[in-house]
Amino acid sequence: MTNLLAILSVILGAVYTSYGLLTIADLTRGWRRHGLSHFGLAWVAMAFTCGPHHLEHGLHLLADGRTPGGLELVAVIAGFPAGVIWFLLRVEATAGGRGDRIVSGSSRFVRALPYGAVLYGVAFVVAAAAVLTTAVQFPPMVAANVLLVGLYGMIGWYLLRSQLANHRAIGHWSMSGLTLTVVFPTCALMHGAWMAYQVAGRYQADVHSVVIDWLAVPAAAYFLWVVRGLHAGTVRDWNEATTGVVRDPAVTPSVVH
Amino acid sequence: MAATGPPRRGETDDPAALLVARLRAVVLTFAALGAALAFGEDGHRGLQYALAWFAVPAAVALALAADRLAVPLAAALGAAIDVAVLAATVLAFPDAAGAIGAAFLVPVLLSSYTGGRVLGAAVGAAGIATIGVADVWGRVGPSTETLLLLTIAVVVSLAVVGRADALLLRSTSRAQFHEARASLIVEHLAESIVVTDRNAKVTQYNAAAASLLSIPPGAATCEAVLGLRIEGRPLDCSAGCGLQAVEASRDSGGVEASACADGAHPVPVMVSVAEIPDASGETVEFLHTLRDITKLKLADEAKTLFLATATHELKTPVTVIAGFLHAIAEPGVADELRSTAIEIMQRRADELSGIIQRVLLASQIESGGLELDLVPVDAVAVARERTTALASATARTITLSVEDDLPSLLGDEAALSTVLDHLLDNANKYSPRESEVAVSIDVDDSAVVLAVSDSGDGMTSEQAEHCFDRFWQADATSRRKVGGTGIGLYIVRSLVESMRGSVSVASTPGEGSAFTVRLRRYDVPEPASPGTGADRLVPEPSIVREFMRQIGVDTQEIAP
Repeated sequence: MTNLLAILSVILGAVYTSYGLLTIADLTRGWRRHGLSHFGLAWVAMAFTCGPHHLEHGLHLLADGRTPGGLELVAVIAGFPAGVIWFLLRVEATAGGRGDRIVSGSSRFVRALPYGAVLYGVAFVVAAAAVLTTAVQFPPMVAANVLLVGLYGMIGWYLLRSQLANHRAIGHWSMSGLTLTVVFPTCALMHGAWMAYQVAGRYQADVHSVVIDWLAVPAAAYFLWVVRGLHAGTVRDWNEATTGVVRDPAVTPSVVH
Repeated sequence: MAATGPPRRGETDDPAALLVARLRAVVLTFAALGAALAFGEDGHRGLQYALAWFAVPAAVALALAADRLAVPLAAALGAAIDVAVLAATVLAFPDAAGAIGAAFLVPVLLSSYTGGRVLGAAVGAAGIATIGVADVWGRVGPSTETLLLLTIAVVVSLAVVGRADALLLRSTSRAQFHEARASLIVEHLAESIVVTDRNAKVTQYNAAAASLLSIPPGAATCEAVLGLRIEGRPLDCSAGCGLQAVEASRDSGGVEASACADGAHPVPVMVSVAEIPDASGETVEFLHTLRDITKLKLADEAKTLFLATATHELKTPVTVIAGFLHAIAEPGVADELRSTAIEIMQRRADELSGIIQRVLLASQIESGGLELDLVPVDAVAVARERTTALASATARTITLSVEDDLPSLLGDEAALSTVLDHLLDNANKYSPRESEVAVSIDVDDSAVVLAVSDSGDGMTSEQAEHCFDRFWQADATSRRKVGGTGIGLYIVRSLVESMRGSVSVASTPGEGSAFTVRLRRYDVPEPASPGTGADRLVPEPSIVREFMRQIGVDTQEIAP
């Protein structure tokens, strides 16, 4: 279990850090044309805290031989495919491909998602409560994880709300949007697992994770502030600028049944 | 959230009430902080924390007040309950005060974000950070509580300023947006708009008005800009808006007038006026909306002319048929005369049928009900059939020149036959009987080109420009001489355009006319248009924009 979680964490760490690098390239391209993007900067800040968080954790598991908790392993396994698919779609788009797939109607896979999410959520809460029965303490690091659960949960909620609205409007799902919607709640649950294990005294914070997670808090808060500002109209960003266009016959997303 | 629309229950727009609400929140916030500091010196740590955290709901109430909510019961009660619960918990577990405070901030933070209250969330986040710092420093330094409370006070103050800035920015941004939007709408309206003040001075007009009225440079008065005349008499605007009085005296929602700013070229317009009040409701300006009705008038005249012409066209064969019917109804009519009469009546009935079909087709085109299925059509076969039919009916020479191995065109066979019939009929009517009518079919890279030429009267360039208009005829003399309803060439153009082709005319007065119809070749694919084909324009790939799209922030993606 340790090795599996370590490998998945290292891959996710590389993937999330790569998001940040791709976004920096995107920001550099668009900077002269559209100006500063708070959204892009906030996203880079998040990617450069999420990526190192997973990398650091994976490397600590491999080097220290620490035994991870099951809750954390499940959260990482649940978020892993979504994170990797979103990354591959972005790479595809950057290389000139479609960058998305249309999931027509509501396939069995999509219909199963809410049931799976509820089951997972209930099981998580029960398991976390069981963990907390062993011991209760409040080290300072708990606060960072509490905040990250809230912040990532809120971002996930925004994404879910947008996906439902898009589906009502156009009648199909976007693979890009669905994967992104899955990533954030699973991140929130992963930090929830950390929180539970820290309160129970099973995880001891190391200096790397303390620094990275406390940096992740303002990064996520900044991102949420930008998103709220964009919705409220108090923040100006690339959404108000007209974008350039390229001729490309391959960008129409193909249909996934 | 933005305070838009009329105040709801519990809300107010009264500046005095808002000021009182804000002051009350500020006093509550800092009173709580001050009390916490005072208790801190006596070592009542739990009570101190409880009072310190009272600053958070008080600050949220402050944010609510900034959003027009005049400290309603819910906000005050919510804050009181928060403080009571927190105080009880902290007093019960004084050693876990920091952790309890942190946990308490989670619902504050979530509800703050959900309600759009950034201030509360900022205070919450900063408070937790402060607790972390204070806990660490408290072990080595003497003034943890003081540091904590001072930090909260600074954060609250900064957050209040930030909130005020955000509201100001939002309201400025909204005002700028609405102003730009209104200007854009006015400027791009097809109808002309002229605004005047109470002294008949022009304060604003849009591009359509400038174009319609040919406003002279420096013109600033109603008379100089509009020059309105009603029933030939200039409108008197010296004692207020003259148009308003005229409009009030009529039932219709506008007055027919002529606008003549330059004094030389009157433009028929339908004009209406509306009052623009200031904040107190007093009328300070008048909005004049003008619609150019030149085309409507011309169309009306053309329709009247068409009715007269069509009636005449219909009356002639009907008169002939009626006369012969009376003649053969008499007893003792010779068989030879009877059969001649029937033959003539038959011919006249065909003419009547042709006229009615043309009118019906024009009506169908006008109503947009003409839909053609475009298929490959052999233009040579159609042209050969129609020229042979006309040559045998009129006993005149029609030459047909055709290129070898012509490709099929993309069109409709019946529509192409009608087009050729009308063009050949025109050539036949407007050229001397002994002259030649020629039809040629050629091909270029993308189209099959059909040309019908005659050596008849020809047209001037102005006539050629309008010959495809509805109800148009060269002149009254030709109308009387050759007859016709004036809709033949209109039908030709409409049918050709329905087949995605084009028609043009080259004509010289006294030498004849040549009509050229270009229709797409069936064997050449149509070029893709933007947004419809495979070669369409698409947005640049952007991770930032993709994420924005997925999180519900609208992005503009248009071609430059």
